[in-house]
Amino acid sequence: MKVSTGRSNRLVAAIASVGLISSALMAVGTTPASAAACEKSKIKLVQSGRGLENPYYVAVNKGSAAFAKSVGLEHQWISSEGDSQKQLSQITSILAESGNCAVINVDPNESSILPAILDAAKAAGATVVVQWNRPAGVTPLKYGTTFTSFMSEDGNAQGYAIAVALFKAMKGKGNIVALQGMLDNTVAQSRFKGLKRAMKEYPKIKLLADQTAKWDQNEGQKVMQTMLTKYGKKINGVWTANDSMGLGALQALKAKKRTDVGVVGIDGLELAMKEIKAGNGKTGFIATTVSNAHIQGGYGLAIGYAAATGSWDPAKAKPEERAFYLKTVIATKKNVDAASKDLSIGMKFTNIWDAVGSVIPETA
Amino acid sequence: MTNSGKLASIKAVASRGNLPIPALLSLLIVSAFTATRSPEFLTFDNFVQISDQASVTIILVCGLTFVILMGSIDLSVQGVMASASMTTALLVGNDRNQNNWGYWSIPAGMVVGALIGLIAGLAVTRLRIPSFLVTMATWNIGLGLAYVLFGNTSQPSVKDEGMLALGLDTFLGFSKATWIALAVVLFCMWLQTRTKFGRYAYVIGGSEEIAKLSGINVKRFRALSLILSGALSGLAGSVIVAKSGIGAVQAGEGQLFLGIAAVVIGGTLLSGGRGGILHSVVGVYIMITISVAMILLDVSDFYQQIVQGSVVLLVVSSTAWRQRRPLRTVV
Repeated sequence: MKVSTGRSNRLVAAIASVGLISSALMAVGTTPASAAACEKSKIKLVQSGRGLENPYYVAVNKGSAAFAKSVGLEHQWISSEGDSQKQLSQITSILAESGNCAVINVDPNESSILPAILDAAKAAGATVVVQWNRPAGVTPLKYGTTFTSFMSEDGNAQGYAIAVALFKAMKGKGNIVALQGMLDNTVAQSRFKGLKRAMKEYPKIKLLADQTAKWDQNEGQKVMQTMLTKYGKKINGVWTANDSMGLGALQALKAKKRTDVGVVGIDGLELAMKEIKAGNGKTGFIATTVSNAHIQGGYGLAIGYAAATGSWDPAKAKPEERAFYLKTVIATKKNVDAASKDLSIGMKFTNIWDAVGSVIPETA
Repeated sequence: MTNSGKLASIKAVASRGNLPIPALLSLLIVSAFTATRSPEFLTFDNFVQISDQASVTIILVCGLTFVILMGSIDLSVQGVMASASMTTALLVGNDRNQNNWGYWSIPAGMVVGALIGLIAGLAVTRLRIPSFLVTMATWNIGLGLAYVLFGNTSQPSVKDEGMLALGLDTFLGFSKATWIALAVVLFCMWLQTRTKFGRYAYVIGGSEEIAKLSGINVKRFRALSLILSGALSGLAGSVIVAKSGIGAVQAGEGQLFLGIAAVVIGGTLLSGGRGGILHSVVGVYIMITISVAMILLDVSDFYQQIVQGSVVLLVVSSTAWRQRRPLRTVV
């Protein structure tokens, strides 16, 4: 088959423009706001996140499904695939369809897209619960009741909790190295602050070096290799800002037959849980945080649902109901079996504020 | 042959750009600088770990180099690595299914890569779409395939002892991945110097018109280069599975930039016709040595990227010094 370059170019251009026009059409035509509470049967539960190739979002989605089932509804999962504009257009088309009955639990692809999502939802009278990302100054209290609640992990508490688990396994003394996340990332920064806080309580622990491994397993493995070349036997423990880097560091240690070093991470990845289970609790993978993914999916929708049906009024809510950190629980050898089960099974939503750990201050 | 004759022929080889002299000098300078400031740098251990860190990238740049020599580009490496990683992880003994292909899962990953390369090769030569666009598309096809294989369950982790040992164990002091990379380099050196494919690559990259007029089947060789690049990116993805013990969509993260930077730093022209496998291997060593040096020298995380970028700029300028004139006329 032979197609001339000119014709195929025109074909590509035609397809591209059809795509553009249809996505533009989806973005228009939101229904006007209506303040009235929505009938239960008309509620549209929507969970928006990056994509289901990521085990974290799989767990989020299971939590969402558990809540939807508990109220006898179905929920819809939408993947942004890392594309903010796509996320926005998906949400606006759902708003066009379901209006004030849309309950959207969203993990914004990036914080800067959130105001546009909130404005679209406000115009339609819908409710939005937000996970993880929001621009500084855009808080539920300041924005108003459309932005029902904001919840996030307490990076500082997480970084602190796993550090303490590591230091206890090291009997309170020795040298550690730290693998950090992306440095411009607030989550990475707060997790590292948690490590520093724990180090103040354990003065005999020394931090030999800290390096970014960009949240990535292969990068974590490489950085750990070099750290082992540089510090060798001096290293007694490894603190990592997420499990992926921790698993990479563990591979580097295994390749060097270093079975005397403990590693801790954050996120509660299934593989990290398996390593903890297989380990002795003192060396190898020692601790990670128990994932709150199912809680973010389930309770996020539960809070939005309560607001949409009128059973809870965000305008009269306590501050910790509008913006809160989730509880931090860590998994170690002791509780790993319970922590590595499918946590969405048996979720009960009798008290939708069970997920609240502590209030996020307005200035945070 | 007399001594002066030998010298002349060495000079002739070097001047044709068959030896990566400027790149080697740059590598030497970066190494010497680091060695004076870090006692750990000039150790056997460090050479072993740098070689291990370089192995995956070396495997993929060997294929990429032929593509670039012919004046095309292959942007699909990360997509191919993703799908090959998932393929290998799901065929070797793993915790998601009952497959137990052992080492055969590695060539399987290469086949997936070669097929993606074949799609690119056909699109570039038959539909005459620029390789830049085609391989951007096949990058996505590879990633998409990896997502499909991932499904919405858990990350597959390798159970096969042999495969895990391949990633962790050493042979004669070096990691097995390093030996695989060496085998690939030797094979590609052979392709480059002893086969029509290798020799024609230079002719095609130098001038496609002349190549056509001399009766070279340009389309076939260009397609072959993309297939080879796909197969070797696939191998790189499979080796990552052995090294990390998991199959991952993110397996190739960062490798495209690293690979292309290494090829260019090594002295292979992006416009084609000049450079070679050895150049790219030295280029990878430069890139990895720089990132290892950053950690050994305790350069603050915040300044690493600036330092790394500046060093790369310096190395590229020194490598490309002799090529300034022709480049400037192009720009």
